Amino acid sequence: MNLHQQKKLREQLMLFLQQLHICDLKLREQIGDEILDKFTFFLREVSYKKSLKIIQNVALAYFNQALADYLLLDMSKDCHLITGARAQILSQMQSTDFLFLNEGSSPKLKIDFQSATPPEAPLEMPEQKIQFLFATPSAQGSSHA
Amino acid sequence: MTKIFRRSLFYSLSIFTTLLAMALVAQPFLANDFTLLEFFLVLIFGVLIFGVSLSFWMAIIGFFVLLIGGDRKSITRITKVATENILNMAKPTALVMPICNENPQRIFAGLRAIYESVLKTGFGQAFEIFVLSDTSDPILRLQEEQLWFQMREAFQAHGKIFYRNRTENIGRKSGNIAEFCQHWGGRYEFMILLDADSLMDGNTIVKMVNIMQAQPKVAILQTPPLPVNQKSLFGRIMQFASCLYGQIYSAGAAFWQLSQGNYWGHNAIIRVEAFAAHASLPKLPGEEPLGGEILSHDFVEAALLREAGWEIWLAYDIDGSYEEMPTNIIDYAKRDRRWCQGNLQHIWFLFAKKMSLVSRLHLLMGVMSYLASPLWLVFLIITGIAAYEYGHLMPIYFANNNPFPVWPISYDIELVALLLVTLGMLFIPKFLSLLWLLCHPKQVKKFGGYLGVVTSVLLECIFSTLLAPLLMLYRTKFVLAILLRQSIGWPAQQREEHGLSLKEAITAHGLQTLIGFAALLCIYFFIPSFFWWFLPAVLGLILAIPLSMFVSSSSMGTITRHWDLFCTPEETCPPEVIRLFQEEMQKD
Repeated sequence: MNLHQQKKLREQLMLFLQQLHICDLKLREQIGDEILDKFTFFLREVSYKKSLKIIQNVALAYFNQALADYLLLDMSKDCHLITGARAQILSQMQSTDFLFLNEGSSPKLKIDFQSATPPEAPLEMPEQKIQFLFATPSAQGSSHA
Repeated sequence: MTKIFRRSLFYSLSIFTTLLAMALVAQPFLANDFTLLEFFLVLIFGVLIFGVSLSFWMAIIGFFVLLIGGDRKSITRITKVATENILNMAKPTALVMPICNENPQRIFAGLRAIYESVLKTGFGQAFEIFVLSDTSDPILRLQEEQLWFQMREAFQAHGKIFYRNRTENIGRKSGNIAEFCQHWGGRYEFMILLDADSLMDGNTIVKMVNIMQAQPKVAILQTPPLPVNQKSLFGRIMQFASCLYGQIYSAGAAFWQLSQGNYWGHNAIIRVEAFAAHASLPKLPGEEPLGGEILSHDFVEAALLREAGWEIWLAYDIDGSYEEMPTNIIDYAKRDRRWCQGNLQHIWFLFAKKMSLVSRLHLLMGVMSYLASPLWLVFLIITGIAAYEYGHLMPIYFANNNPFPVWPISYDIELVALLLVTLGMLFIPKFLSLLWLLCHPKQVKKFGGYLGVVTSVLLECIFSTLLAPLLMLYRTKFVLAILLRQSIGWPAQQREEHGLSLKEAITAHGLQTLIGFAALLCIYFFIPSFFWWFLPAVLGLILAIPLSMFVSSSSMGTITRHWDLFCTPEETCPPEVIRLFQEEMQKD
């Protein structure tokens, strides 16, 4: 990636952070630079398009972690609750700066804790065994997700 | 008994027509020694004409089914439905929409329209919506989440409208649905599969659930979705053709398939437990493009369910089921490229052990819809070579010291008859569809009136003739690329209006145009007597660039709409769900 692309990458990351309603410019830059510093070495090997996707996903993961911490949720166990909360906050168009600041100075956020999915009701999906005349198929990952 | 009779009738008619056409084409060759080239010509022709006659007889049967007022053995006629039963269901029905990096505004406008239409039936409480996102683009993902939240708020549907994003896109669409079944399948008795561009009327959805309730052996009930919302000329022509001609094909297919129909991947209702128990796909042997993950999952899932003893019905007479389609030739070809790879993978299943004839036939028809193109191309080339050879043979009048001359026999009549039979099989279904429509004056008005609909059919015939060689070359290229092991994956479909620029058209059709000119010159110089016969086959190639640009235009779509050309009832009198969808789209 050349210098121009690096600059463009930073701009795009700032725009993405803005989409996450991080309104304070300094906070945005601080988070953005932190992400870029951590991943610059890794991104050198990847195309611009792929790099952009990676850093946007990292920024989203940062946001999710901040939200999970704020709501005292577990990132891996409560991912559907976090999705619901994230959609709610972002739809309300209010600043999300408080998620990244000290608790004392932040406004209280009213979240109704609606999960994005219903409670699980698992169903077994046994893989079908198909025999071909010339070869045997292997397992498809999807059936064991 | 009915099943055996109907299937025997359908197969016999198709096989008889194929043999007749093969005999016609073989007759001139039988007079002399049958050369290897001629043998291949007859063989390839036989394979091709079998595919054509299957479609032809499906349409003819469908026409007669409609003419007598419908099929008494169709799933809708044999089911006694009590509408209120839906409220006594222990489990709700899920309206499931798997999506992957598509336009979120379009997706949620469609979902809102469908849900509103369902609510208007009064049975809204029996349904839940589940958006199954495989979207990897973080910006689109955020938009999806917000639109989901806003929809849930707008309908006050807490606990009714759900959204899930998978972090790992394993198994593509079939993997997405499988993951849903594994986590939430137990919550639902039925799921209605929707594509990102699907629209379904609330009453249609309720009717489908009622049929499934009354028919416990049915695993899948498939509706024939009609293309709608097209603005470009290409989209409008295809929409018109599908709407007018599709009906007799669907009726014919439902007639011979009965309870052993097929599944097209969306706009269908599925019994979740049966699906989970029997439709989990294995990975194919080998690597992509022909091996690996199964791309076109629907036909295989249908085959697995059929083999497990479940019924699959095509409800040809249920309306209110819609979809969108590519808006220009290039996007249409791109979609074909994906489908081509998916269908060619099905060759594996033709060699699967313990699979019924009907399952193999369904899969074979899918495979042949793509393999037919390279075969047609080879057939045309061999015909050209054979014609050249015949043109340069000197007739021998006095063979073996015979004092009486042996006059060369002309087979023009047989060859013209053969051409007419082939053309007839391609065009008669279109004119029968028109005839059926003309018998229903109220419907004619919705198709743009008598003059409009007749002109539209004639223009569509010209357009499809020009388009056929283009698609033949595209599909030949795709088949060759796949056989050379070039995989394309399963990129998101382009559905937005997109007028083509000259540069795009030249890039996409430049080579085809050159091939067209080269073929025309060869025909003109080497087999001039066949010039007019071959002209329709190459004209589409020569005109590819202007044709493709012309039909991609939305303005031409609007102008033809004003002239009452290529109109469909869904366009002239939009049903409620389409009206609701259009309103939702305007809000954005």
